[in-house]
Amino acid sequence: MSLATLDRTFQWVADSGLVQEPFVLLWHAGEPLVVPVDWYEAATELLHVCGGDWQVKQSFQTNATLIDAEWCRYFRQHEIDVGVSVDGPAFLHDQHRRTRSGEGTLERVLRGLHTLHEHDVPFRVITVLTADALEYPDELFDFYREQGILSVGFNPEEVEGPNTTSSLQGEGTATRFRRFLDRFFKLALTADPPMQVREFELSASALLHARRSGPPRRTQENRPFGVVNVDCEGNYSTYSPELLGLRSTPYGEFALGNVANDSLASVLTLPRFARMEADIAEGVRMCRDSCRYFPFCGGGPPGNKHFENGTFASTETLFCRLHMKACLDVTADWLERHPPTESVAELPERAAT
Amino acid sequence: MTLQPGYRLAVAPKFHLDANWSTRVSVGVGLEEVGGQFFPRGPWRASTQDELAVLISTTEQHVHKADSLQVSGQEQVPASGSTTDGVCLFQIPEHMRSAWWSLLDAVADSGAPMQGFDEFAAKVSEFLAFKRLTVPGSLQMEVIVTAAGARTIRRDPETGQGSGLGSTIAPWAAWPLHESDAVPRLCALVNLGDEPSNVVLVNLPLAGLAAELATRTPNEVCPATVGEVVEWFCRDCSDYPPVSVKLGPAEGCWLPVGGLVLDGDPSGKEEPDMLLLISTNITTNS
Repeated sequence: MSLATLDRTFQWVADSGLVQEPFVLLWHAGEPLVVPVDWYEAATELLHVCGGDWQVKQSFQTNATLIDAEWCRYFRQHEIDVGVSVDGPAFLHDQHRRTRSGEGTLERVLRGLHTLHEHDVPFRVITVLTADALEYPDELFDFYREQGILSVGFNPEEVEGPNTTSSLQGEGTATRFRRFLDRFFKLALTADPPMQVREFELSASALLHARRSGPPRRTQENRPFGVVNVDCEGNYSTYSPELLGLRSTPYGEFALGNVANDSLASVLTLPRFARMEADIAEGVRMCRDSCRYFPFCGGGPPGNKHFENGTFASTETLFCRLHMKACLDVTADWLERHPPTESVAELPERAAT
Repeated sequence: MTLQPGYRLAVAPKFHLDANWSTRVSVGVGLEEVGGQFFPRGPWRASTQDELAVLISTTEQHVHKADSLQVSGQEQVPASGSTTDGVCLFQIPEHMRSAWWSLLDAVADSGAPMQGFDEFAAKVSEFLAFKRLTVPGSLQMEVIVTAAGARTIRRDPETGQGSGLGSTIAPWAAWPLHESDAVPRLCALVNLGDEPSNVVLVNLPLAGLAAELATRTPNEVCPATVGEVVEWFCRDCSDYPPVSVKLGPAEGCWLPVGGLVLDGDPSGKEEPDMLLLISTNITTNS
């Protein structure tokens, strides 16, 4: 992305009036560190100029292979939230994450992690779980501990975009996924120090939030312009990030416009946006009416619904079964066995009844 | 005598470790009797390709069969010479092995008896259950620490002396075994130390030992117990080559339900040998 396009992007965001509260600027999709540090220094300058009063946290999702001392200095200076994609020990990671010549990338990733540690840059890790990985919670736990990783998140291999199948679609996977989570939660939460597991934190928060204040509103990902996705040419979309750059028969291009030409007001009147929004709202309504997990979920990600079910106006997906239902169930089981210290009597009354 | 087809070595399903069989497995010359006990006889040498072909499972079928034996929860005594059951390598996670060392450190610091072994054993048991390495009944665990340089890890409970090679199935069990018999047996052992441990075994099932005895000494009476099968085989077939399998730190082997002759061999070690023995604790129901 050119800095001119980035400047127009920030200007578009400012003009849209969407910034009402603190937000995250996430650099991801592809490897964001292939662009030099200088570019991000300039980008940060533009951000300050255009959105001086914004409360914005920058976040990188990287494979860590390019991290060096200069990157670490940048991360620390700007208090960047760093997420590293690493799938565990070599027999898991190198199975899917390879260079163009076919070599596994784990060694290079570990060098990156070592550099982050050397420069005291905090980071969290995201691991893509394939069907194979479900058999190795202890091995993953050992790997994280050995690498000094204290915060992990698990992304089940999803059906989205060009990834038209998932190893997790097989028979019995949900049971194996729950077994994996149950085992890993136990290892992580009883470790000294405990390991943060994003799925547990989110599920526990959803369970406790629903108990305190009633069902959540639509999620960031299924609410129009809760998320704004911009590609390197300035094309933008909303809803699930993976939709940007793709098209489909019912909806056409998921990109709604370009930051150079199309204001937020202009895309809100587009018929295809209206159709997307109507179908997504219908999908959320269907979830609300049919799924007992809705109070903790708020309706699934539209991207998964589209890629798996062919339409936004649909309900359950693989993502729902694994990342939502299984996580909530296993977390609820854990909380029942290990209740939070705050007693129910001390909880405020529900805001919505 | 050369190695006969019998139990095969494999990596247990749901485990990922580098088997590297050619450096892991070595072969001795035979068996020798010392003071009424039996020991493997060296010198040890690297296994040949032909021997590895006999010893190592290369087929998925074998591995899956071994898995199904454990998953089913119904132990079966394999037929004589069966290769559908084997010795499966596995590995406990490092966090579990370091939990053991924490227990030892606490004992060293306090001088008090070890606390927390039951919790440690429960964690190992949970891990094995997750990996579907389970057996009917409860598991019993003990750690055997043997001085470096010793010839055996097994002890005669009455004399305290090294007892050498013995069966993984209770020696008093009646022979032949029947499916209705459920007798205590050693299911697995795990190296808890920081240095590799060697486990010595005869690669034949107990039924294979009995068959070999019947061939060599057809006019003898049949053994009446598992202990007799082992003793008679070691005495009459002392030219049978034992197999030594090296276990790295945290590595273990899951042993076949049909039983085999086995011992630990700390003779070449520099530090005490430290093996976790996992057994079933069930009694005869026949």
